[in-house]
Amino acid sequence: MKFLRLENKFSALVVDDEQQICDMVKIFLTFSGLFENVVTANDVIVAKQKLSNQKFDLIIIDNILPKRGGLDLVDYINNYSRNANYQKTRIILISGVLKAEDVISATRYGIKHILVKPFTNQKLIAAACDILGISTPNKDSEL
Amino acid sequence: MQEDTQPFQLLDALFEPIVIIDDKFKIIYYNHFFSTFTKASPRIIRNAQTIFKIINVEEKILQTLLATASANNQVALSQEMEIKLASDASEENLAPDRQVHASMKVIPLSTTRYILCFNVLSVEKGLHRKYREKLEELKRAHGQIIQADKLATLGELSASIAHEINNPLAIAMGHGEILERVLENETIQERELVDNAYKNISEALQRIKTIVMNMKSFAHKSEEKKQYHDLISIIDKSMMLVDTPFRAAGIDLKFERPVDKFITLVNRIEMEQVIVNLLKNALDALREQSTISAAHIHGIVEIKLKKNKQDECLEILVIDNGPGIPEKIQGEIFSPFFTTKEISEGTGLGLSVSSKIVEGHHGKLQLTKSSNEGSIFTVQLPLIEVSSYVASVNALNASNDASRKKILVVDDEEKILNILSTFLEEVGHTMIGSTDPSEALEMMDKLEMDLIITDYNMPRMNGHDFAKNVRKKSNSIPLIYLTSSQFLNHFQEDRQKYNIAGLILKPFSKEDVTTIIDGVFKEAKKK
Repeated sequence: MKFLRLENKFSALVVDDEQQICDMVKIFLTFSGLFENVVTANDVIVAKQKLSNQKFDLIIIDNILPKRGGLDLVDYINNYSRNANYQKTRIILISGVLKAEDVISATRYGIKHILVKPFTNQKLIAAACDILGISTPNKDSEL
Repeated sequence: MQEDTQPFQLLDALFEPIVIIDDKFKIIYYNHFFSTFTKASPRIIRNAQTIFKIINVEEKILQTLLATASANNQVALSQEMEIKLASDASEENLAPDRQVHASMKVIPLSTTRYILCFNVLSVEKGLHRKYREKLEELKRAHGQIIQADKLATLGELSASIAHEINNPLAIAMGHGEILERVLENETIQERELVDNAYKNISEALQRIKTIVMNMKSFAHKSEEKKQYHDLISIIDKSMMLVDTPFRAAGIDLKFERPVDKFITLVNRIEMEQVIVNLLKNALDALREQSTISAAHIHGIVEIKLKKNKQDECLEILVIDNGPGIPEKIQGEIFSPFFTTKEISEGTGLGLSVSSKIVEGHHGKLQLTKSSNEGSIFTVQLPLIEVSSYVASVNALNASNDASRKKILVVDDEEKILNILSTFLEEVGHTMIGSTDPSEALEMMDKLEMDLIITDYNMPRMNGHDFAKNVRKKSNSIPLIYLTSSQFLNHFQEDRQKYNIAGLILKPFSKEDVTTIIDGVFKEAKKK
C-alpha cells in the first residue's frame, strides 16, 4: 500500500514540562511525514499563548503538568474551540501512570486516546492517525 | 502418747500449706491446706512414717534446713525448687507424681519441733512462663504486622518510583528510536559497531521498562487475580460470613437486593474481606451502643448497592444506626494501627487494609456520614468498563507487540466474560468487559477499541438494536455476534444490514474464538 503524502500537512502542539519529551514527540511527528509546524510548550501558560497565536490540528498533552494539571488545559481548549467555533480539537493525553480516575476524568473531557509512557513512535503515530481519521503510513513512506 | 496439738489448730486458718515435724521428720501436725496442697488424704498423712512419704524432697536438703534453723534459732529459707508430691501411697491419687515449684521455710519451735511451710510458686511461675510466651507471640505478630506495613509502603513507594522513572525512560527510548531511524539511512563506516551499540542500548532500556512494570504490579499485587464478579453475590457471601455474630448480638442485617446484576472486575476474596470488615465494625459499634445507652435502640445494619451516575462508579454503602464516630478521630480511622477496641480485640488494621484494597481496585473507601444517628461507609468502585479498560491499557503498555488489540465484549453473564477474557488474553489481546449495551455504547464515544463482541440475547437492548446503535456511531469498527444457535436467524438478517463481521456460537472453544477474531482482523486489515 502506497501512502500518499498529504499536500497540506497537519500542525500540532506538544505540551510537556520535560523539554526532552517535547523534542522527542516533535521528531516522531515530523518523521512521520504527516506533520509540519509542531510547536512545543512546557507549561500551561505558554501553551495558552501558542493556542492564541494559531490553530492546531492535534494537541498532545501530558497528564501531569506543573501548577495546574493537563486536564485543566484540556478544559480550557475545549471551551476555547467552542467559543471560537472551531471544530472539536483532537487531543492525545500522555501519562506516566494510568489510574481509573484519570481515565474517568479524561473521558469526561472527551479524550479517547491515552498513551502511557514510555510509548513507541509506532503507538503515537497510530493514535495520531486514528484521531485525525487518516490511515497509518507504512514505514517505507516515512521520511 | 498423744501430743497436745491444740495450739497448732490456729494454723488451720492459714491459707498456706504448713506441717509440723519433729527432728526425725515425723509429722506431728498439718493444717488443712497442707492436705489440699499434697492431695493426700488425712488417713495417708496420719499413717505416713515420715514427711518424705508425702513430699518427695531430698532428706539432705531438709536436714540442712532444720539444722540451720535450729542452730541460729531463726527462720531458715530454702531456695526455690521443684518438689515432687508423692502419690504412690494414695489410692485416690492415681495421677503420676505432681510437681510443684516452691520454696520451703522452717521455723524452729524447739529442738524437736519445727514448723515447715511451703511457699508455692507454681502458679506464679506458670503465669510468668505464659506471660513470656504471650509476650514473645505478641512481639512476633507485631514484627509481622510491621513487615506487612513496610511491604505495603514499599509497594506504594515503588509505584511512585515507577512513575518517576517512566519519564526519563520515555525520553531515552524515544530518542533511541529517533537515532535508529536517522542512522538507518546514513552511510557510516563502523556500521556494525553502531548497530550493535544501538541494539544493546535498546535491549537495556527494554529491561528497565520490564523492571518498572514489575515494580508497578508489585504495588498492585491483586491486579492479576481480578475477575468479573457480581457484587451482589460477593455481598451475599460476606453477609453469610458474619451472620452468626449478628444473630448472637440481636442486630438486624439487611440488604435490599437490586434487580440488576452489578458485575465488575474485582478480586473476589479481597472485596469480601473489605465488606466483612465494614460489617464487623458496624456490629462492634452497635454492640458498644447497647452496653452503654439506656435507651434501647434496636441495632440495624443495612447494605445498599447502587450505581452512581454522576461519579460514574458503583457504590456499596454500609449503613448503621450506631453512635457514630467522634469527629476528633474521624481523620485517623484509616491509619494503620488505629483502634478504639481493647488490645486483644482489634489490630487497628481493618480499615487501613480495606482502604488499600479498594485503592488497588482504583476505587475509594470513605466515611461518608457520621452523626449520633449512625455512620455510613461508602466503597466506590469504577464501572466494569473503566476498570477493565485500565487493566487493558496497562497490559498493552507492558508489551511492544502492536498487533495486540483492545476488544470490547458485551455480555450480561460474568461467566462468559471471564471465559472470554482468559481466551483473549492467552492469545495476546486484551478485553474490556461490559454488561450493559447502553453503557457500552457510551464507552465507544469515550474510549478507543478495535473490535466489539456482543451477546445477542440481552435484557433491555438485544444484539440487533445494539448493532444498529453501534453503526450509527461507527461504520468501521468490526462487530461480532455471540449467541446460541436459536438466534442464528437474527445473525443472518443483520449480517448485511449492520455489517456483522462474524459469529461466535455458544458454547464455544478457545479455537472457535481465536479463529473468528483472527479472520475478522485480517479482513479489516485488507480494507
